[in-house]
Amino acid sequence: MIITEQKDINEIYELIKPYNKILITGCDGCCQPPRSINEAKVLGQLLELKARNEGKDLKWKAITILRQCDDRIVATTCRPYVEDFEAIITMACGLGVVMMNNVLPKILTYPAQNSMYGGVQDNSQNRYIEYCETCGDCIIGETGGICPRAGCAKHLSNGPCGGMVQGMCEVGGYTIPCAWVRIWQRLKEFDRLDLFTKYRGPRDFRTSTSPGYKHIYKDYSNIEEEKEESK
Amino acid sequence: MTVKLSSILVIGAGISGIEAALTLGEQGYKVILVEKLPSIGGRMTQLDKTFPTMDCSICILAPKMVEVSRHPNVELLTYSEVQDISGKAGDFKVKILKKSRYVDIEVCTGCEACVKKCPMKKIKSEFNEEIGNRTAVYIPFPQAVPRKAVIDKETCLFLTKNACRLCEKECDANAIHFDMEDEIVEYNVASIIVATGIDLLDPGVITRYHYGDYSNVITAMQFERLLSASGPTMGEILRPSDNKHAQNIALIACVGSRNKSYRPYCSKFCCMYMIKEGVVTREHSPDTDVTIFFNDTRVIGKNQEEFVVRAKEDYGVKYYRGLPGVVSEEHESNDLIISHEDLDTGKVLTDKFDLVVLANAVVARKDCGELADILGIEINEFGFFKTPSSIEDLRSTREGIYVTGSCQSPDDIANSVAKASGAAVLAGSHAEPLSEEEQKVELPKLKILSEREKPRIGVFVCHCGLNIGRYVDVPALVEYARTLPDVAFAMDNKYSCSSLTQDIIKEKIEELNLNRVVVAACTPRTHETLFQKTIREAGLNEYLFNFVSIRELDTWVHMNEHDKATDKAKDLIRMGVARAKFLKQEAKIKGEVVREAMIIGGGIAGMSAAMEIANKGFKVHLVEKEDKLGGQLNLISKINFDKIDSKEFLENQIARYKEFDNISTHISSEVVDIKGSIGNFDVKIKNNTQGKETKINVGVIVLATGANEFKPKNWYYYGQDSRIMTHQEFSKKLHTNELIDGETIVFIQCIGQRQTDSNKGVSYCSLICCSESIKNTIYTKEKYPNSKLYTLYRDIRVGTEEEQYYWKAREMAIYIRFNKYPEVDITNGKVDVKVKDILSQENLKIIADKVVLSTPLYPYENRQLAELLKVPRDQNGFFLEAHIKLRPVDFATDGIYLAGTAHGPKSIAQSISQARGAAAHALIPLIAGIVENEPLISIVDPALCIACQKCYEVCNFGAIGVNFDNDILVSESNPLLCKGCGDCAAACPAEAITMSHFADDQLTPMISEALKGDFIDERPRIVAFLCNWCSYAGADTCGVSRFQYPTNIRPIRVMCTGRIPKRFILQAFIEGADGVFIGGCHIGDCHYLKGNYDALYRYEELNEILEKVGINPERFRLEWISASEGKRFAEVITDFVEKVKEIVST
Repeated sequence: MIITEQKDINEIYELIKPYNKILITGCDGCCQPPRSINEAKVLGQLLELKARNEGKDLKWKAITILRQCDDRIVATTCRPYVEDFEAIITMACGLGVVMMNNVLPKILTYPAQNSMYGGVQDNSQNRYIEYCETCGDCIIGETGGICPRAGCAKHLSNGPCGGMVQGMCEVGGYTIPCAWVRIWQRLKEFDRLDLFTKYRGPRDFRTSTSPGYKHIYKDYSNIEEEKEESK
Repeated sequence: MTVKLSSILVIGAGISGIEAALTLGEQGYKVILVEKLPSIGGRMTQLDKTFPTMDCSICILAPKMVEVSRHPNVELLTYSEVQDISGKAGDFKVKILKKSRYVDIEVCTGCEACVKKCPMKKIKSEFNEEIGNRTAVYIPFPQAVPRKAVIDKETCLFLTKNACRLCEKECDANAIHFDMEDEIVEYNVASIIVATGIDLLDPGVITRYHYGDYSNVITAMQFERLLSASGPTMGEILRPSDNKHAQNIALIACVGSRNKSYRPYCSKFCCMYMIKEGVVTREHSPDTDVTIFFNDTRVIGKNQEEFVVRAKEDYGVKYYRGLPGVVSEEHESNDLIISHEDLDTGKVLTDKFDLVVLANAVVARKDCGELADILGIEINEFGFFKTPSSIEDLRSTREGIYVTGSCQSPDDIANSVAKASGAAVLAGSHAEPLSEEEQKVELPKLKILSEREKPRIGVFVCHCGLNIGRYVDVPALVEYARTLPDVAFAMDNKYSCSSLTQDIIKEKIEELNLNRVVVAACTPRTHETLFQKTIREAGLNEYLFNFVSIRELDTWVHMNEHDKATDKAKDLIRMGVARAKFLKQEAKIKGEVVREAMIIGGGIAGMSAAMEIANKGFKVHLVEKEDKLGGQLNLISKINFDKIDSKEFLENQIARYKEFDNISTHISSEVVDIKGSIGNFDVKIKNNTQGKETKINVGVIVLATGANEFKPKNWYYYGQDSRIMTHQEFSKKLHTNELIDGETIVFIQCIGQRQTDSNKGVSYCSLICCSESIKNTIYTKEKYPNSKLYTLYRDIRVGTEEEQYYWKAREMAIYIRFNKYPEVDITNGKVDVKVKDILSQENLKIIADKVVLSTPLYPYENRQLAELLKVPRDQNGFFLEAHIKLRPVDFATDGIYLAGTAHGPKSIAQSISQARGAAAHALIPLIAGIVENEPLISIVDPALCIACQKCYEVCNFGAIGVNFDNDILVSESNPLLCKGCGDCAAACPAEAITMSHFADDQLTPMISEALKGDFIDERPRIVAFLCNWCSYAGADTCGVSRFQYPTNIRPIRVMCTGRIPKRFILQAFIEGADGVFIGGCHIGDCHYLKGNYDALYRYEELNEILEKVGINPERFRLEWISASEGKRFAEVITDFVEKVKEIVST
């Protein structure tokens, strides 16, 4: 899921300052912590209080969208409201903000969140951890299920480095366990230290997907030409 | 076949008696609960806090007291005594003397008008341990049940001198009747439970402490009252001589206990309550010094060792080993001087204290012998009720009569509760529960209320004599109520709770076709069910009723502000009507129960539980992972000091067990899968030898997975040298005669336990190793008289009756107390034990032939089981019960129960009693065949749910969350498990969860109305959300005690502070609130375990933002106020109103 953090209320207020009628959209998708109708309403209430404090009467409405990264869902949910409002604030991740602006070209959508990373929820310690960097070149198969790119501060392909002391990483003041030590422990458990000692070359940044476009289905439009070429 | 009786008598209504009565009542037996005093509750009502969780004692007890008094199967006889008993088990005839209270409790409203008029103001209050005063007509304490007056005929002016009768004239309800006479009532009962509790030794007999001579020497119970927020000093520690704050307090242990001249036994719980009192004192005022003088810190239960360490390290309570010889008083200042030895350094110190608290010995009640004669049971050498052997805590010496609580042997609350349920199951074996028909109450058919039907609300405003009528303008309230929308009828009543008014309400519902009723009167906490019953009798659903508290929350706390109080009452009624409009019909949730039980673990606890359940005729499946039954009993030879042969005992138990043909035993088996909830669990059991899987379907589950002795591999050469062994191994050698006479044997206690460093072992105390080592000392000396024995120890912790054996053992072995763990070396084939004796401060070396280590009792692997059942484990790996004090055999999740050492280290007797207790609770749903739950539950709208699992995260009862067995993955609430806190409704980001009866659409109109009120210009206006169990109860206590505070708050009752989402608070601010107040239970005291943590989290998140949006965060306040802190409620509200006033005016 996409881990987000709500922007400071003042920053959000500055964004929507010129407007008197705003629509606040929650997202029921993978945004974590969840930012659905409840959070949208709370943001609306906070902005109303803030506006009142500045001597302004802000009108707002809160709705929520099933997934803001799906253009059809966004379009069908938001279109009925677009006419009545001057701007939109969305509680979704960056994807949602861009998608809303894309689908609803006649109105500006502002973000209420900072998108952090793709992560998972660690219930035992009540936190969100980054597990995957979406690098496009997965080596987790060689590292016992632990990603050294998301987990290592230096994104090393071969570790650990000299900054590891007693299993802890120097980055963050020895509070975070070194990913490479964890990889070693895990591979040892399965008697696969051969994978650990294997040398991995420098990371191939060509696979990096930013800015990424990928067809959902294979494009068959020029299949005939391809056949010709392969011959 | 003879028909069994259904009635059971419980004598004594302290916590143990209440628990026994509730368990039996829930099982469907008719219970006669007899209490000698005017109110039930016993000793626990007097306590301030309870160890080790620091729960407020009355807060957790009061709901139980109310529950037992309202239970349809429990007949409560207060101020009554058992006079005579005849017959035998299964058919006793009982004569009970109901002493005259001179007050008709059916009519008395508890208004205390009589108390104010009574001229006898200087009678020492028993409840406050003679520190405060009471009158001759009195209500024992604010939370008394029944909360009705009683006249003390020893001191009443009319009854002694034939004068006065002022109270009679003052009583508007005509409740006082001086011609009332004592009455004798007779019952036929099947069995009897005795739970009469304890007395405390008069410490005056130990002259060297000068109790009674020096006013600043007090008893622990008196200190408890001083600490209590509802006590005579309102929780301030003022010393008796000059009412000044005590800055330096000494607590002295073993005052009379463990002393041959007074009481030779250990009183068991004093060590713990002294530590608790120390911690409470330090919490109250951190600059007060607390010193505890003790012999051994004796912890007696789970998590208590950790508490002792915390008291020392986190709270800075000072401990000195060894009791002071004498307390002397300084002239004029009345300070107390104590000379004592510091055993850690060997120096003699002299300290001055402001206050000395004596932990006086627990003694059998003085009428114990008399009652024993009436009942035909025996008492033991110490005066407590006797049981047949040391592994039996519950049976008296007569069949059909059972003992529980401290009247059998001093015990703490948790054990007393576990024992009470255990006694209940034994008592129930002589009786037959009432049939469904006998328990059924005939009610008229429910009126169907359609969604579209317009609300027609009836408002009834109570005068409560003068309690409301004198302080507000009741007719004006009625006039005002009539003007409110949807109000079809409004009237005032002199006493709304009188049976006359009940008839009027019913009549008006009928006549005017009312479909909702609002009563503005005292408090819902005592009277809501009465009115709910009334409207139900008129054919209206109970949940179409709303209570508005205008006595406790208004007139009693604003006695001098007639106009403002009237305006507030109008607001409160308007808020109540606004909520009533949205009330919906709710029906009790019912679920079928499969009438079979599963027990996991075939040790003595599991077997005992299985036998008690099977004895009531239900099918039991017992799963044991070993190939034989008996668990740890297979590994030990002799039990306790009465030398019960373990093998023989186990064989007898197994023989009895095998007689039940409705128990099916699965040996060599493990539970591999469990699905479902109370009433219907689908379980897969795998037989490990055959590899076969069996599927069973059961209604309840008892966990008795046990614990075993930790083997300290590589510590002290254990496992490397055969001369180093554990106690279990030593005792085996002892009984198979493998030892040689004349050897030197060293016992080392506390190996790998009571450690603060987790690398060195566990943090808890295993409780049984001291007795084990003493037992082995005595046995060794008997068999091998020339052996030389040494015991190296930190504290010796033994039970009440075991103390005498400890003395005996001290004559047989050399006891050396250490601070630093001894070292064991093997040089030249010899085992050297080096230790520093703290008494002589000498380093000693013992050349040993054998070294025996006391290692901790360690729970068996239970992680997978915990995950399957979604039940929690504590930090030590033992299963964690629902409430460490009051629910020791239950899990927070219904339908799963807990027994034996899987819960925590304990003796065999305790394991058996706890297993019986677990069986008793498991029998409740089994006997009923259905489980019922109040309709205060969360409901998920699957169309809105986004399956984010936030509800699952906040729920402490495993009641809500995405059901992954379904095709559609949305959250599902289990109505049978939901406890109704509403935390999930507040946490749900998608607003998909509705908390019925406290729904958003019922609460938000109240917030809006709280801020309207067009007839006054009273500022500041504050909305207060109060949690039902603590702060609302605290506001009630405040009202009962008449502490005055400003009229500015408009309270809204919610079940838990966790119910309050941020949007409620912001709504209040948007709609014009000057302040918002949230009052909840103290952290750790939450009725729903952890709801207040969620409230705190939301509060802090919001608090950070408020300032940024232009709201001074001081206008928003969260406070923890317990049910007993009435005074504090008034103070906090007054302070908050002042603060907000200040902020608003600038």
